[in-house]
Amino acid sequence: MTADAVVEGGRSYNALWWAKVQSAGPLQVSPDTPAVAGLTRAAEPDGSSVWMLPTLPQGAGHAVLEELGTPPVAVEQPNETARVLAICVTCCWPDRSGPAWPGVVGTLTQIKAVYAGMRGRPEQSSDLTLIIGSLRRLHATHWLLWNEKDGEVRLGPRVVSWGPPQLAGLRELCRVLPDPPPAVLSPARNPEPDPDPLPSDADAIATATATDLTDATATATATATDLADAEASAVEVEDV
Amino acid sequence: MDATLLDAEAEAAVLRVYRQVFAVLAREAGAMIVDPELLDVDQAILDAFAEAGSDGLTVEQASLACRGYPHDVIVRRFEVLRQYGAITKLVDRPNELRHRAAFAPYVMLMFLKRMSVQGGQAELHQLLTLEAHSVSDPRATEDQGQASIERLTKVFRLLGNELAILVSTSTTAQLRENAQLAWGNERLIEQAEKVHRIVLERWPTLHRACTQLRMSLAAYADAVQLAAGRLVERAGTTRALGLLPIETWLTFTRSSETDALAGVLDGLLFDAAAPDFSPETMLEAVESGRRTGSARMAPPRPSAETDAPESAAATDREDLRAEAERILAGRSSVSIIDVVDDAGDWITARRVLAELTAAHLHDELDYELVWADGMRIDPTAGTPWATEGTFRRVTR
Amino acid sequence: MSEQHALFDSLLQDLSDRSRDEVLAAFSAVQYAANPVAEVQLAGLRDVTLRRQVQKMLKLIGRTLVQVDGTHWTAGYADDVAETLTAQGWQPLSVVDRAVLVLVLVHSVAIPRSEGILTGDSWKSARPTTVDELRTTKISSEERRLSLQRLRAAGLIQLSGDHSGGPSYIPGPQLQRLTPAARRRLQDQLILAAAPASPIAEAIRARAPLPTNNSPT
Repeated sequence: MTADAVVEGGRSYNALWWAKVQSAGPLQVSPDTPAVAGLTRAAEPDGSSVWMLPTLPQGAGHAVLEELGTPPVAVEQPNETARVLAICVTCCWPDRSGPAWPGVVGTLTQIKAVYAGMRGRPEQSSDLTLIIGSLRRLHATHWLLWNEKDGEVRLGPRVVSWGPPQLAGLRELCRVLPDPPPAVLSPARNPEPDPDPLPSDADAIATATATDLTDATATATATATDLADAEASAVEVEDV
Repeated sequence: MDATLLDAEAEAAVLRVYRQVFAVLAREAGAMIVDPELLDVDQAILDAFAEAGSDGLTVEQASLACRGYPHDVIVRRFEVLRQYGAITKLVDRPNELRHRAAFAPYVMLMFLKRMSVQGGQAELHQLLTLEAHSVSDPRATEDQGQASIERLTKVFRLLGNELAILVSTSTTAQLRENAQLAWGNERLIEQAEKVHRIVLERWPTLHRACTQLRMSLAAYADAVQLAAGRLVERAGTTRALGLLPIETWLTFTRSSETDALAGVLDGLLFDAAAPDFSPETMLEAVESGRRTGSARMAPPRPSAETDAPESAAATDREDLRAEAERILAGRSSVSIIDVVDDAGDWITARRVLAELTAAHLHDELDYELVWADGMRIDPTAGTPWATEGTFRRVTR
Repeated sequence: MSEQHALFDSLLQDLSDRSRDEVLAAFSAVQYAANPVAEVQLAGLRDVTLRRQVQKMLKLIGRTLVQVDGTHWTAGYADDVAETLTAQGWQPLSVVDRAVLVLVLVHSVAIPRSEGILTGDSWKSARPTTVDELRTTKISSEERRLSLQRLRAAGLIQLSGDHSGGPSYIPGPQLQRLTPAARRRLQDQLILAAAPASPIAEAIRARAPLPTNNSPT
């Protein structure tokens, strides 16, 4: 017997948590929050909190809807949104033998590059509008954790719902998409330069580091400018 | 109705005005009209008299002025109005053909029209204002104060009775139709209480009449509450909304603070957006994105001309939007000549124009393609002949 | 067969494989389909015994079956659950989103009801609310735009088919998830907010609350 059937009020405890998750989406709670039957937990990499989100028995869930011909609420720009999620998977899931959560941090620069690669042509300024709109939608529904200020993205807690069969499909997806360029994270997240380089290589390393940093700054600046533009155009595009 | 009025005021002059004003309600001498359109005919006739000036009108002239209505209808109504004295001969002699109209019936018509739209409440408000005004007049006598109080007592008794009878005898639908009897009752009662207060302060001896007024106001308020209760009880889960006047809703939406609007949903919970993305959906989207991309890279060749406007993009709103944004490149509008020239050759230009047209026609995209009359002719251009026009964002 | 489910297994383990599939299909349809599903379409809804299982599953997660038009089913929050959570201050929908939704409900449902042109007893309506009608308030256009997007994504509003005067909105399918008690609560609170001194509001305050009903089967 499960604990909730024994503990007085246990059923209502579960019901209230499930209702919270259905009304607010996946919930970020402190790790010492007691378990709730049927809600899975996705721990943040730093262990400071966990996300709670629902699991369903096999044979239940969205997969059933298509067979029944009873669609869920439509996503705005469904194809663009699905493409951007796919691109984020390829950028943020380097260890394809393991689960997708929590993955690693990807950047807007990577996303733009893969997007243009997918389209089979150079990057265009109009891409950004579509990409940002999709990132925001996916962030709002917890498929991604999108940090607009830094132009950085992680996979969101909902990806925990992808089981082994789905992960196989995602690996296929990653094969179809172009490989992302290496991530250049915002300066704050950059690892410290080696504090004690060997004397003979000191100059070379210093130069390389300086170049990297310059690039990173340039990228960060470009990102900020792009975002300001995207902000303006996203306003008009999304006002359907 | 006539009997009450006759008992109350029996003087011949008063009777004459009553006869005149009720002329517009008479089907023929001695009978009420049953067709409200006759009121329009009466109004047309009285309108014609207003235009005619001091020469008056003959029945034929009136008929001519009211050509919108059949001749015999005008003649019949003219005769009814004449019998009731709403229209009289210009000079009272046997062979006089010209007539003049009294103003009172026209005033009556205006009141009737307003009451038919508003149910008489506005008129009652005005009556109450007039009563308050007349009992406040320094020259008003105690008798006038008493008469005023008694009139109001009767009005509210009639109102309360009507509503109480409706509550006990009619269906919910009938009651709902008459719901305006219950609307705005607060204000009516307030106004009546004001008259009551003025009268009681000026003439304390009228306390007995004032008690009667208070009782009739209380009975009216009870009837309103009863009616409201019964309507709400039978309104199901959303239909009681229809019991408030439209103006109330409009005022609510226009004047409420955000918090007050949001507060309507207190105690209610809704589902968060929870779209699902399966790897299959994502793969399909990526594949279609790749196809679109490669289609763009290779414009259709002349041999595939028939397929040219039907690019894969035309089937996908997002891709249309992307194409439109690519063409606009951050601008709010762009000249078609530029678009055509940028495309290079006509085959490519035609494909682009097909997509812009599709974006223009797409009901969920905010773009428009507007053609102008002019034409650009430039033998050196990729497409020498190009119609002028603008493709632009529409703000909605 | 499949892996264990801590919440539902105690309900599902006694069912035959076929019944289990039908119950899960019906559960998924009422929970995740945007619109109410036809009773005739699913054995898990048609068959009273199976439907009771669906209702039991829903009860475990704070939901309940809601019948629509006598022929369709969907799922919404059980009245006691919504009441308990909101009494604790739980309201994930932002103030602006709720205000915008209420504006759509007034223009698309309340006003047409006052005009006597809406039939039925639900929050469904085909009367569009235009952006102009939403503009008459204290919400900035940017806030409103974002809010409309969020409300659409949640199925609380939807685009109306009428684009003649720019985009316009009607109540979304999620409004159909409201239980009878929730529907009436919404009606009552709307009247109390819009015309607190009216005889109708007085009658609503005087009326006994609707009994909550969590088992419509």
